[in-house]
Amino acid sequence: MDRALVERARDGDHDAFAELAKASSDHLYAVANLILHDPERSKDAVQEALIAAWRGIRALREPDALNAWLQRLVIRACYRLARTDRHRIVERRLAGANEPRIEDGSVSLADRDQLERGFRRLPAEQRAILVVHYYLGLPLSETADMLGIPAGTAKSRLNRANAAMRAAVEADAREAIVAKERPA
Amino acid sequence: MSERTDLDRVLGTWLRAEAPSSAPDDLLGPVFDVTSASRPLPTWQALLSVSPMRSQSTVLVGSPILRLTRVAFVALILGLLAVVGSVLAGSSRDTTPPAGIGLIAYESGGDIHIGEPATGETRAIVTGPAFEARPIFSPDGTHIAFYRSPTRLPEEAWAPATASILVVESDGSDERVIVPAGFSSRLLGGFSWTPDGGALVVQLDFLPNTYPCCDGELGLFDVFGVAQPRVLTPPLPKAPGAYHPQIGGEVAPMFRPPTGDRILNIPDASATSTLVEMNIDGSNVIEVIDPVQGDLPFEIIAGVAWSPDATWIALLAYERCRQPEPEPYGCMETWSPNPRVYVISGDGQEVRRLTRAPDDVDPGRHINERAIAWSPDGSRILIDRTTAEYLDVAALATETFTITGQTLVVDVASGAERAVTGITTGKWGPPYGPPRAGGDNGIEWVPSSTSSWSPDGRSVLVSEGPGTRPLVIDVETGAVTRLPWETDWHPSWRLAD
Repeated sequence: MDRALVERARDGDHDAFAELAKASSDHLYAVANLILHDPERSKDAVQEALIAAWRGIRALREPDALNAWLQRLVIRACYRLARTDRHRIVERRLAGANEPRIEDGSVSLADRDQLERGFRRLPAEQRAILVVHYYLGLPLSETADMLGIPAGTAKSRLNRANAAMRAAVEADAREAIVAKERPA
Repeated sequence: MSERTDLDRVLGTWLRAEAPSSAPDDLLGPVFDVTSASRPLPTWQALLSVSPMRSQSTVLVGSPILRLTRVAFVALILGLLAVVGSVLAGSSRDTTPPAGIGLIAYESGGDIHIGEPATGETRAIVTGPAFEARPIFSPDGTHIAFYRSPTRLPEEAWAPATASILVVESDGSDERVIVPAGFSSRLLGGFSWTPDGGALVVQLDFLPNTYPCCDGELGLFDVFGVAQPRVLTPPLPKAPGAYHPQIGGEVAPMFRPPTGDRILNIPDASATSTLVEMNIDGSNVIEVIDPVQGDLPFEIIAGVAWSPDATWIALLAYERCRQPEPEPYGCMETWSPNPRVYVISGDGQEVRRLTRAPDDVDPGRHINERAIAWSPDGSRILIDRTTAEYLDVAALATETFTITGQTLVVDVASGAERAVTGITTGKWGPPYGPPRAGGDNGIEWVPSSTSSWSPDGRSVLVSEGPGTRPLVIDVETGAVTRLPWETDWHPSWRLAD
């Protein structure tokens, strides 16, 4: 991150802010989409976060903290959107239809389906902690800071999220076995 | 995939594969439309509204708001001196007419009456064998809404099959049923008029009606028979702190003046108690504050109330835990069960505690504030404050604490407090709270008493409970007039002629 650019934005230079927003938008959108699993609401979340960032940028004392701060604003926006629209039926776009994917041979196609189904069953708070911890790769203490929760809460939430994922995946696997063994 | 290590190993890989590699092309345009037309907030406002990171939240220690506490402390001292002066000067009270202006609707003996505080005259406007209660004037003063039940028994009075809500003209004529008995399988809870006087908003509580109350839905019922009844909010979860944003049975303060087209709501009090503003049909939801994400000193929000000019919102907030002992009398998970009154600006940018009550740091003492009522000019707020002192902290049994209570008027700008009632102390005993031990200024504070402002903002109406004569107390002079009629709960002062 260009510190000078952040400092200019902090002084109210909109062009500098626009540069920062362009540089961050792909990453922020990825974070939002992982948590919300909804392209439209993910867009809303990033837009809301960037507007909040512009309004509050003078509170940013340390320019190097910009990325972390933006991520936090996006997660906060995701929470809000998830809560205010929790009953909406989300139509998940089929993987590969519009979004380029990184192919990685270490996760099989069947595993991906299981993971996706399990992940979608989690509440937003649990999806968020998995995204921050595993996708952003932050250690638990920084994950807690990012989510604005005590470290102990982060630890227990992460454990619950992992357990829920594991239970969902295992249940999915059992269903598949039962289906295979069921006589035609 | 069933092995734990497999899941941990693949989760990061899978998330990276799942993440879209680029944002939509039209993402940034609307952002720049907004940001290019505005400027960043000043630093002090930004610090309060968008705290950069949790680890930096301690900057609030040096924030202007907290520096203001020193000034406010001086103001508090001056305020307390004023209170003492008021108490000393109040020795000749209970003799000073007139009691106030306008009309007061009240319940007595299961009927609805109208009284005139200035003359003491009164008359019954709704009578009969049924039990009528909780009369409330419409905002324009032309109508009165009230409950009707065939029985006074508490466990049956508001049963869905039998209780109803009706409206009459202010002279008792033209009686109409607004919420018929059997309309809903929910209990009829508190209700209020919408600001335009066109509808009633009614709490529809789940059965059984467990504490805390008000965990159902809000229903909107058109008074003049045009629209169909409809539900405003989804059911709220039953969880600690899960309240509808209402005060003492009133749901009116949640409507934004003057039109009431927007309401405050707490969509999910079990999670983070985010306060939102939305249209009355639930659309266009805007977050006002999110205590957890906003690094505010409280986590759970209960009652909320707009100021009359809609520039401020008063709320009851459960602060972060400072006491060591566990629930039920000490901290819940991370928050104190003892609320304090806060005020926040209507846009959520400024947040401060209204009162200067001590923090809950003493394991043997718990301070609660409740019953927010804005004065008509929005300069003062009426609150009740109780302090429970445990005689045996280790036991924490209900039989072993005393409770003191007082009704206060608090100046919103300075935080200065003025006593409306005396301090009443008693040892707790079921079922209705402590036995009265006498207020130190002759006016007793009563648990579960109700208070409201006069239309001119000069007096408050205090009901000491069923079968008592309400008090009208001048908040400036402390002069007290006891009205000549006995009322049951919740007298309602007509706020418009």
